[in-house]
This record gives sequence, structure tokens and C-alpha cells, in this order.
Amino acid sequence: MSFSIGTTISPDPRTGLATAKTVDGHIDFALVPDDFRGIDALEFSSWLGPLTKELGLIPEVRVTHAEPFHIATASATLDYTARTRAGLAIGISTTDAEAALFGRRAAADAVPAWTESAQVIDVVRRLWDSWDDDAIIRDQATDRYIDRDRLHTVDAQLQDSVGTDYSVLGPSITPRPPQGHPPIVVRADGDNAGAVEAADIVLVDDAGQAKSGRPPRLEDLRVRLGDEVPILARLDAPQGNTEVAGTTARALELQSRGASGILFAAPAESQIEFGIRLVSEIVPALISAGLRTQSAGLRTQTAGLGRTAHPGGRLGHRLDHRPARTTGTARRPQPLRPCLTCRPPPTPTSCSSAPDRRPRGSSSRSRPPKAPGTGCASISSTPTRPAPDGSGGPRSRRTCG
Amino acid sequence: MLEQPLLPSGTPLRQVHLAAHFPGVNNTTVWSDPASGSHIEFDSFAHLARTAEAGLFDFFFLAEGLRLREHQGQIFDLDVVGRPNTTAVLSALASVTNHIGLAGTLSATFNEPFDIARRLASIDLLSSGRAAWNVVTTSNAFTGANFRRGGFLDYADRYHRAEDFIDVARELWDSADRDRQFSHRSDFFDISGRFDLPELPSGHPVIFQAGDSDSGRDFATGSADVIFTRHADPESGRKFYADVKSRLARYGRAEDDLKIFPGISVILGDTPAEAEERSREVAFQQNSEAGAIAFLERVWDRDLSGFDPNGPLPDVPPAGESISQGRVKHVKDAEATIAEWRALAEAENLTARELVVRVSARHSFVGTPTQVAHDLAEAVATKAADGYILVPHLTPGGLDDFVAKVVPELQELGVYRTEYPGENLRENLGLPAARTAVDWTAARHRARGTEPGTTSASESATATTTDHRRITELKEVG
Repeated sequence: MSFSIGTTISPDPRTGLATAKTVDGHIDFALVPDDFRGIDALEFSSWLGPLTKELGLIPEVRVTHAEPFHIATASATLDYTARTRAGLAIGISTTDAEAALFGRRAAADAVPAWTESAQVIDVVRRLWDSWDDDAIIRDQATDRYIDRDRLHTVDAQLQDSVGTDYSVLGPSITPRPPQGHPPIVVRADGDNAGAVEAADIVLVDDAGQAKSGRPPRLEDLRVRLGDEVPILARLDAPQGNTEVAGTTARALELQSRGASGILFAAPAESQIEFGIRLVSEIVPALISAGLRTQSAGLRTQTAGLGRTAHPGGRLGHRLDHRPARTTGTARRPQPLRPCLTCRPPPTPTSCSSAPDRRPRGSSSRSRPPKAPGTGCASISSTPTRPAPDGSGGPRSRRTCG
Repeated sequence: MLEQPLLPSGTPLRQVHLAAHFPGVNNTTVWSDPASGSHIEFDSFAHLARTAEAGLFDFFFLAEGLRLREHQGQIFDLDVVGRPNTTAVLSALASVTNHIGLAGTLSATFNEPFDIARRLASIDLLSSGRAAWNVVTTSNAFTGANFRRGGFLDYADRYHRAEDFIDVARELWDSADRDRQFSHRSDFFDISGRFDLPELPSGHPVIFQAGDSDSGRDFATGSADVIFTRHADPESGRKFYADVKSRLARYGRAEDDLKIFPGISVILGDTPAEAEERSREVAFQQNSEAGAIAFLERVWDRDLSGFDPNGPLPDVPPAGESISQGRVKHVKDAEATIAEWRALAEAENLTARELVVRVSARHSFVGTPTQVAHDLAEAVATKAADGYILVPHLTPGGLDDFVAKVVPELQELGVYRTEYPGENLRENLGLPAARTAVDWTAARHRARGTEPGTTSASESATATTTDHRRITELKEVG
């Protein structure tokens, strides 16, 4: 499997576009960071969509002060405008200065902010799934544009970073993204095991390069997440000839320790120059070392994986090493994810009596088959917040696998 | 009908402005036609925007949805359902167009000022000055169910929050590219920090509003650059235009500082008779059998599924409660409206569906390209509008014929541009340079006789005594 390569692209209309055009077709994706300064990452990625052909576009969204409903529709829309090349990188906001920009909540501590972010990932996925792929029927015999039985409310229950409960009803206003689920990316920092488990792709700062937090070691993360979750090492973009020349050796070493690829973090002011070195020196060296296939081969590999190839369309296909996700003919069942935002069922151990429609993933042909005999599993857990009756005692959670 | 490019009265002709509305999620949009394409794939948006740009239109307009419409407690399934995120599409369109303005509806209720101001600034920067925002407030808990905020604001608060919201956005835009902090403390917002973006190419994105009542018109004249109105008929347009423009001086604004754009439908034919016949066909496409019953149900506010759309109007009285959620209600007095319709149906021997077509689906301009060009030129010359927002019934090709056939006629008449005159949307609309947030606020205080710094107290008092109609008008158009 090809060793994935991505780079950060800062949202500058001139240098960001030049960098994106330079690396398009040569690497797998661009991650557009967002720190509430400069152009919004989602808008910038949306703008880059029609200007690029092959490049995965993964905007960062810091969810602490954002509306999950808007995140779900904007990322779904990016998947349409960028033709199955959208991803979504989830971040949090913890500073007083950022909280003051919104003026709604006090600054969050990292732990509750990450806890909420895992719930936001869950509700975003459920909103994406709130339309079946075949919901639009345009049935002239009955004058119906949609089959409304193929749209589903999600009725998600969340708790924000300062402890206030809120809910999101759904369904989404936007039909299911062409990839099904654009890949969700989370950077592991030691405080966010829940968000990491909710992600499709995990970034990890390799030892010695973390700016903050206590990032887990790559090897430990690989053991924890198993073989199938792509883990990308986040490296500062190499500077100078010696560092660039050493990148292949570094990549081989990272791969031996469990990395599926590298995300290079390039400084905004030198992103064009780094993009050129990436394309002219680094990627050819990785290809020579057998870590990646030729870019032409990559194109062939992804050709024909259009609207119907989901979950994991073009970007998901490139980054996601789990074959189960693209074909539905899983060698083993997709692991069930705990539903982090489902309303607790009235009877704690019975899923079939749950009031809402179907568990996530029941949307017909689009999802991998469920484990035999389960449409909905109950697992015992410690609640992240008090139960509605205020008891705060243990309860079961439904899974939305 | 005009035979000459000059008006018989000698009224001088004025330049016509045009804009394109992406077909919405109501029965105006015909999805059953073989020519009807996707309402979600990007190609549809790109096609319509590029067509409008080829026709030198001022802007492309995209409405917003935040909750799917419901009818009798279920998602309404007879019209187009499903839309993209507004700003994500406008940003993508910025990369496939060069001149056309990119206008979108965004709720001031379910967004925060910093976020909206930054998104619009982003679009303005990515498009070299082409961003515009149609400000709406969303009034109900129905839509609030999808958001953190829920639906807790009361009517008067929503109105004032929207006005305050626009002020905040303009303050943020004014502070872009300046090494200074912003700070806004009011009844609605307490925010501060740095709006760390480059200077906006257009100064401020263009602000649209849809106000119609007395208070709504003052709201628009005090805060907006463009009014999007339903006064498509030239006669009612002229009354609206005269009234709104007469209010501008109080706010220190000139007549040309606020542009009036009614939304219109246009049906073309090679002959007048062919256009009329086409209009009738489209009207029946817009009102399917099931759709006609649903239309009547929204007026009767009761289930009418047992009635035949091809039979007479239902012979039952209206019920009291509202069965429709998520759309603006246009009929205020059901009993009177129904009585009027019964008389009309009897006089003209109409079935229920024919009656619906008769009362709901009149197209604004119907005729040959020459006729329509003359009618538009006349309407603008006589100050029924500054320009028109065309709402095509087909996606994405609904403006192809208009741009190919009517635009050249308008150019021939000398009332339409042959190239884009300006560098950004503000200039193409003929608007003055953006004035600062401080100027806007001060002008409102002067016009309303309120003291700066006492905004919230004095204006809230006024608001509670005025009717709630203006709130409805802030809601989505299209």
C-alpha cells in the first residue's frame, strides 16, 4: 500500500493556490489549518475544490464554538464541490482570546473540549447518514421528489465544553456526501483518546516535535488502534538539502514503527518552495524507495471510483487502508463505534425498543454489513454526563456501527 | 407595449440590472421536467452562475435552508428537498467565475457574528470583492432544534439582534488589516479580540434585506445596500420603490445608495401566443396534482387528501392550527381568501388544481424576447425597480434562453451593459463605497432621534409596540 503524503497549505489565496496546484496529482492531500486568523479553512478548501483535480482537501474546523449542523452541511458540500476529495480535520479551542471572539462560553479546558469534539464527530457522521443515498426518487407517478422514509432524524444529545447540554435534531439539509463519510482526521495529543477513536485517520507528532501536550508514541498508538487505522506522522517540513535528502530514510523508519504516511507541516511563508521540493525531490525519492507508486499509477488506481464508491471515495480510498470500507465485502466486520450522542433507550439493554428509527448505518447499501445478529449493540459504560433523571449512574449506550 | 425604445411619456430610460436566483425548494422549481438536473451537484451551481456571468448579471443568489420543511408533521416531499451549505458553494463558485457577485442567505439567529463576518470576508478575499449577504432571522424553535442556541429569542429581540449583528459584522470588517482590537458590548453580543484578516477588496460585503412592512422598510433603509422584494408586478413595484427611496434622505443616503431588486419569473416564446401557452404548461408543472392539494392544505390548515385535485374546491371550512412548518406564510386571512377563491372558481368554472394555478402561478414577464426586454426596460425606467432577480424554474439551464435572447435585446435598447463596469460587486451594482460601521450607526440614531449609546433601551421599547409582521419579512425569500 502506498505510503500517504500530505502537506499543510495555509489559506493564502496566492501562495496557497500556487502550492495546491504544484502538489496536485503528486501527493494525496492538503490539510488547511485554521486558527481563527486569515481566511476560513472550509471556505478556502471549497474555493480550491474546482481549482484542483486529485488533491484531497482537509480543512481544519475547531468545533468548540461552532455549530455541528453547519459543520456537517459545509463538509458534505465540500465533498460535492471537490468531487469526493473532502476530508475534515477536527480541532478544539481552549484560549480565552478565542472564546472572546464568540462571546458565548468561557474558554474550555482541553479534556471537556475534546470530549465534546468526539460527540461532534459522532453527530456529524449521523447527519451525513441522515439521508440514505437513494433518498431522491423524483417519482412522477406520486409527484414525490424524495422518499421521506429514507430521511432520518438523529436527535443527538451533546454536552458542550462548559457542561451545558444541547441537542441536534436533523435530518441534515444536505444529501449524503458522495464519499458517504469524508475521512475525519484527529491529531492525537494525549488528552483526546475519545476523539482519536472516533476518527478515521490519526495524526501524531513524532517524538521531539510536539509543540504542546503529551502526544502518544507512534508505536503505542499503532498497538492501541490496531492495524487498519491510518496513522500519519506529523513532521515539520524538512528545510535545506540535507534534511530533504534524509526524508526517505525518515519515512522508512516511520513506516517500520507503524506509520501509514506523513503529514508535512510547512510554514505559510515558504509553502510554495516546500511544495516544489516535495514534488521535485521528496516524492520521487519515496517512489524510488518503493514507498509510493508513480502518480500516474495512483490516478489509474482511483479512476472509476466516483459517486458510488463509498464510504471512502477518492480521498478515503487513498488514505484509508481498510478495504472493508470501499467494497462492503469486508474480510472482517467493521468495528462498531459507540454512539456518543444517541438518546438512551427507555429499556437500557434493549435496542429494538429505542424510539428513534434505525441505528446509523442502516442506510441500505451504503454501509458495510453488520456483525451477525446485531443491528445495534449495547455496551456498558460510564456516562460522560448525568443521566436525564439526574441519577448520574451507569447506563448503557447504543452503538451506531 | 412599447414599439420604440423611448417611453411614450418621454421618461428617460435607465440602465437595467439583472441577477440570478438558484432555483429554490418550493413549487416554483419544476423537478419533473426532463431538462431538470441535479439540485446538489456542483455542476448545476457552476452552470447557472456562469450563464448569469455570460449575461453580465450583477450577482448570483443562493438561499439557505436550516431545517427541512414539514407538512402535517412529516417532511414535505413534493418539492425539491435538500440544499448545500450556502458559503461553501459560494466559495467554490468564486473559483469558476470572475465578475459575478456571490450573494447568499445566512441566518443571523443561528450563527455568531465573528464566524459570519469571517466567512463573508473570506469569500470577498477569494473572489476579489464579490461577496454579499442576505440577512435573515429565523424565528422559531422548529429551526432551532438543529442548533445549540435552540429557538429562545422573542420576536422583538430577533429583530434587534439582526440589526446589531450587521453592525458588529461591519465593525469587524472595518478593523481588518488594522493592528487593533475590536470590542462590541450590547444586549446581544459581548465579543472582543482581533479580526485578523487582510483588508477586504469591497470594503464591506454588500448587505441584502427583504423588508416590506413600514418598520421593515425603515430597517432596510437604515442598514442595507439592496432590498430583495416580492413586488414583481411593476405597478406595486413603483409604489414600493417610491416609498422606500423617499425614506433614504433621513438616513443621509441618496436615492441610488439602496438598490431595489424584485424577484421575477420570465417565460419566453417565439410568438406571444407561444409564450402564453408555455406559461400555462409551466404553471401546471409547478402545481402537480398532489402539490395543488398540499397548497390548499396550507391555506385550509387541514388534511384535504380525500379531495380530487381535478374536482371542485374542497367544500369544508378551514381549520385553525398551522400544519406547515419551515416556510413563510403568505395568506393571513384564510376564510376571506377561501371565499374569494370559491367565487373565482365558480365564475371561471375551475377545478381545484386550475384554481391553484390561477391564483399562485402567474409568471411575472411572459412574451417574446423583444417584448420581455421592452417590458423590463419600461419597468426600470418608470422606477418599479432598479433591477430584477430572475428565478428560473429549471435547474441548471433555466436562464440559458434569457441570456441568449433577451440580454442582446436589452443591449440593443441601450439599457444594458456590454461589459462589467466595475472591479467588484459594489461597483457593478452602482453602490457608493462602503461607509463605516460608525457612520451607519450614527445615521440611524439621527434618523430615529435616538441617542448613541442608548440604542438597546430606546429601540427595544419601540419594537415591543410594533406589530410582528416585520419579523416575518426578515425570513427567507425564495
